[in-house]
Amino acid sequence: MLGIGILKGMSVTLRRFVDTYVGDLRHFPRRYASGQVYKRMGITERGAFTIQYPEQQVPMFPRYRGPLMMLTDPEKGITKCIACGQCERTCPTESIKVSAAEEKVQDQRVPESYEYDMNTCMFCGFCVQICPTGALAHSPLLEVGAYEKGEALILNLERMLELGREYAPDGVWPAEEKEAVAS
Amino acid sequence: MESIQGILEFVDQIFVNMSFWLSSQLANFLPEWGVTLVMMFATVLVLIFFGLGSIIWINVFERKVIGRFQDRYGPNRFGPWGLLQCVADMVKLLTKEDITPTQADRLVYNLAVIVPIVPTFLILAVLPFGRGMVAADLSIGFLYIVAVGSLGTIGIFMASWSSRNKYAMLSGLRTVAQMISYEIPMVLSVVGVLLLVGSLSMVSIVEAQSQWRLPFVVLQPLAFVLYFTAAIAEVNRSPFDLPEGESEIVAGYHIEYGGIKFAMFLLAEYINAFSICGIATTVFLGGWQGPILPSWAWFFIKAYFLYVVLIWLRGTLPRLRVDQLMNFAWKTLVPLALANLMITALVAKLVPHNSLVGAMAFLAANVVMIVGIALVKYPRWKREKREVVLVPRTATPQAKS
Repeated sequence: MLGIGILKGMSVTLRRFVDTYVGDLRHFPRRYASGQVYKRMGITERGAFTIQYPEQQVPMFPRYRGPLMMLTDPEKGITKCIACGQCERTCPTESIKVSAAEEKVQDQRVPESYEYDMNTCMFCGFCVQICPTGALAHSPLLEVGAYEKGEALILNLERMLELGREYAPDGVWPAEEKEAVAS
Repeated sequence: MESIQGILEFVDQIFVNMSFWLSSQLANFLPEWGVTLVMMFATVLVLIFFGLGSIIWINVFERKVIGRFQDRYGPNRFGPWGLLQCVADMVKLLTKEDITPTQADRLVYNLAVIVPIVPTFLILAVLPFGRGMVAADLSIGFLYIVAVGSLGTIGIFMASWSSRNKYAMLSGLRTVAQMISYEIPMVLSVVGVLLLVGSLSMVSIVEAQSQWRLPFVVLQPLAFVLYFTAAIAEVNRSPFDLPEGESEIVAGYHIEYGGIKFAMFLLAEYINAFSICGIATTVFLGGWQGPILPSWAWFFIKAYFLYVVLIWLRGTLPRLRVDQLMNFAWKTLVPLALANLMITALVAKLVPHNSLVGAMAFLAANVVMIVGIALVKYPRWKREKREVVLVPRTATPQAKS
């Protein structure tokens, strides 16, 4: 065991050592390329596991709770939000402030202003669960850091709609639910 | 053809000629004792700068290589391929706040930083880096290495005792126990080689290998393995890094040291690791000898190859338990070293020296001994047939994208 076992182990590490170079050659430009890595390497795959973070990024998993975004109804072309204020009431940290507009747009109540404060938000997701029209969703944003607390971390209605249009142009998020809605 | 040989000879002897040139220049305006004194200091300075310079890149080299062994890239951010990482490390270590624990024994605590470094540089003095490139060709070379090499333990023990920390103290006790145990097989394994050479001088050990026309690793493979194993334990490197043992006793003896003092311990450790590779190269791998390339290049190639093996072992093997460590030293290494010594002495009497036949006889004796020990220690009826359960490999969950 002492002799053969050590030799076996050393052959394994030597193979790993060589494999990192083989892997580098195979995905030659990948090592420092920018852009997303769509797949983490499996155990059986050769090469280094490292993801060079700022250059390479792994897409967030579907149930990731990022900052809130507001979804747009693709048919009507306006927000799905009906300004009912359920999110404001359910929010444990009182991070959401909604006020409804006086007049309806296309026969639907719409919010006049929507303020979402990431300073206090604890990403519990109650607002997303309770929203009756499915207008709120967690965006897959990872890099939301700011140098100071305050204004930089408060999202207004325009910014949230922008995020919604960027990540869920057809008004459904996360992608898993897309199939559930379709069927 | 002769011109090529002339160039090779020139490159081979370039450092020796430089020192001759320097001493002849100094002789113009200094008395004889002055020249000797200045040359001594120059040699010491060269060795110290070599030591300090080599740690700078050995550190990065080790981190990159061990990274590859563990399926990741090492440092690769600062400078081309991360080679300037050492600069960042140095800046970080040098600018850190220097803290002395209030309960520590201040004098010993501060002195303990310097003590382990001194013997590491002292060992470099007798290593022959190339033909004629040895700072001091002592007639008791190997004895000197053994004597000086064990001095480092005192520094480590001073550090661990004076910092008044329970983890540090545990580490100090472990260090001393480990040193005492592993010194014996380390010295005994080399005694076989010394028997063949008939001298303790490092230079004559290398020259004896040119008389045999074979490196001693062919004649004494078991002794080489024994020496290398014991030497790894001697310099506290993984898998024998019990005194450091991050997972058990935090960082061991240098737990209370930070900044530049920690860097000093690191320096001692890395240079020690390099010097055991140098000693193994000199004693077993033929030292500076090799075809075509200059002698000093051969020395460094062999030494760094052994260093890679050291890193390779570090990347492969888990740390031993304390009782395993002691068992391994006293029940495996010491008997093997004694057996090796006995067989070597016997064969050396029987076969002609400096001949291929003699070398083959040594090799055969070693093979017979290894096989015999394997059969006695692990007899056929004792080998259990274990059922190997293969766990299916599961990939990490993939995100749909």
